[in-house]
Amino acid sequence: MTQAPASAEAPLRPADTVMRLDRLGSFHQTRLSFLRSLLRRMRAKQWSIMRQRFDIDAAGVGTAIYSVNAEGRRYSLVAFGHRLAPEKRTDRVIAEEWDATFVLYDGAPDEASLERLRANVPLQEAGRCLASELILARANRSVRLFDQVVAALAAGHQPDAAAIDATGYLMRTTAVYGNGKFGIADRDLIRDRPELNAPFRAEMLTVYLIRCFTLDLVEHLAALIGGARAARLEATLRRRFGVGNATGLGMAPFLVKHPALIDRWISARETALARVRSIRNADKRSIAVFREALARSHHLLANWNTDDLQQQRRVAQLREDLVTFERFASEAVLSGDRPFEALYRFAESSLSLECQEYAVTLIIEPHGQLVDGLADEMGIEERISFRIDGSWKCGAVKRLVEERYDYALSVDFADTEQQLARFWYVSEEKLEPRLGERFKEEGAEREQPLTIARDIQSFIHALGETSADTYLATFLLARPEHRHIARRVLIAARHRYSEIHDNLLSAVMRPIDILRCKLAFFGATRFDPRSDKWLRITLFQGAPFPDELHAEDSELWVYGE
Amino acid sequence: MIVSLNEVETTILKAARGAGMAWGLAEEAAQAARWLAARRLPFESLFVSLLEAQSWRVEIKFADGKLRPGASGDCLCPIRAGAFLSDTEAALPIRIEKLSFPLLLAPFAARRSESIELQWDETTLQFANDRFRAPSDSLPSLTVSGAAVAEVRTADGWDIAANSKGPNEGGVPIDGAAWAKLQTFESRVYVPASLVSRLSGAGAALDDND
Repeated sequence: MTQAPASAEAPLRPADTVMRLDRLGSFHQTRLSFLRSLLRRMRAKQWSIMRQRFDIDAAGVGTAIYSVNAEGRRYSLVAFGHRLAPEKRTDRVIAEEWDATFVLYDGAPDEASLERLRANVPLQEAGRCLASELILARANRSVRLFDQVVAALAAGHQPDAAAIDATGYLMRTTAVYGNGKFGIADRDLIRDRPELNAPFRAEMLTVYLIRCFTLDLVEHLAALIGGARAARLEATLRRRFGVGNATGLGMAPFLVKHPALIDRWISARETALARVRSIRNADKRSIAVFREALARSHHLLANWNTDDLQQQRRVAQLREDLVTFERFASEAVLSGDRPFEALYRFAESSLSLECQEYAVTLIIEPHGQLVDGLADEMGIEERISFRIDGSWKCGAVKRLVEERYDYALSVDFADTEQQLARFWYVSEEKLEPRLGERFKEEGAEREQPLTIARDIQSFIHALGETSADTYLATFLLARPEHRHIARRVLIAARHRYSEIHDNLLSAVMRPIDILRCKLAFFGATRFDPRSDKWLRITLFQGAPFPDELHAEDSELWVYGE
Repeated sequence: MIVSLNEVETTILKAARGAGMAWGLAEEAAQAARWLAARRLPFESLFVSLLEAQSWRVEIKFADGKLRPGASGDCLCPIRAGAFLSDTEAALPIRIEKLSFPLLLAPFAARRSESIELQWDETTLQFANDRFRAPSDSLPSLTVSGAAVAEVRTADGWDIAANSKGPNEGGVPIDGAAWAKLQTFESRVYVPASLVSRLSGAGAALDDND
């Protein structure tokens, strides 16, 4: 490495800049995204993946098993294929049947375990699992493309590349459950396993294996139909398939309910950005990688399709901004002093939020040595921040609230129509988070505690009526209704990015901004809003398959061709 | 039935909230249940009784090292008393008068950084470094519904390694009847579907056969 070592790091961007919903809703994948750190680990630690069983009939019904040897420990993806009537195919959580259901099993299941899994996994939420199961998931076919690919291969042709790019996947997952849901293993069980303890790593591994399954499945079905005539997918075409995912409101409260964890994610990304901005001189290799990622991005963005009008406009603006950004990134800028700082400054002052955050992704990209280690710091033992330190005095807590929660204190809740328009609740029907209209629907008295800004205002009011010398423990003994928000405030004291700086009850709040932020950390691309409450995405598109992984050290596949 | 610790935590969180506890206390209840379940200690029936008794509504006073009910005749809620015990740096010993379901105080006592003893009636539990030990023949008394006085004090000079237990991994066998009652409380945080919410609550329904 000829690159000059980073001097003092540039300051982190302020929480009040980063944690706004419109910016969080403009995040893109980076090197630190969970699917990318999974693939790096798989490569570095020589994981091996084997297709162990593939008993699937021409209708797609049967069982397949993929086994993973990860640093001496064995995991198995068990896939069940089903026959699904079109009228039962829905992405939403109300579904009761799917084209395929999956479980990530801890070890190698014997026949008895397999029977138990076969009786429960296809039922998903309605079944029961055990601690030997780590992840439960299901997926539906992207019907048009799936059928088209099978038909082409069965007839001995390769499928149309443009059709593949337009959709991007053969199946999309509609839920990937972890952490003790429906009886599966608690996260505690994998907490001490270095191969699997990064955030959502077991989930990402499951989705990666599902991608392998979907491609094996189309080739297998084509061979059953076409016999000797059937073709296999060319390696380059094969890479163009990712896995789709449909994500709804169920995921949104997660970011609010795990403040210390979210701070770790955002802090890692912001620290990476600060380190890169501090680089005095760029070496030739990082300039080349930056340029290639930028050039390939045009292809990625060209295939970012969505029916959502607002997102269409944003993508169109992003394509335009990226051209402007590329023009600015001249040889003179890149060979000048603090080139990545100059690039970031330009994006921040001249380009849309979508492109500002895309610029963050691009300038971090060449600097794996400088930032990849941060991926190991994105988890946290949340139990540590759960305990309330009651030795704080109320006066100090009040000052802390004033310092950290300016955005919440400035919300005018007298404007109830705007600021209290929504309420978050859990539906009786599917036990899933939902968003209601407070003044039009029943149920606001059963609201979930995503009422942060409102709670902050009533907390500071109560603190104002309390002597500044009173211990927080004493205050909370008498006023337990403030306990929830007091805990958040003390977490915010130690975690600067723990809170979303917007009112989550507002009429103009867009839940998909919250979803997009989380999905960007997963490593998703091609965000496709289906309303303001749910969206589809693509994961692992372009990623190397298990047999390609070890020969490949470039990660630029994520930017397309 | 066997459930995960996360299911214990989320069920108690929602059940406690459904019964009317403030969210912050319901979170304490959920963590307490998880702590007990991880150590295979009884929690299901105790929580059912606690949620029926609604004793967290009783005002609590702290003075002179004593937690006591604001009005005579009432019993103290172990979650509310426990939360204070966990928050405060007030010196031990702390005496708790008329404590209901004393075992539910144990998870909070265990959070203190020093080695601790929790005693009520003839029962003494000891805690240190996330481990605990209980007199093996006193399990029935762990589920008593109330104690005249409980005391939390520092405990020096005992060997935590001897006969003590830490948390277990894997599923927790639970008392199905009590669990069903907890689920009844839990259901009170759920909002029944309406025509409006079906149409708009999770976003418009689109054709997914594409």
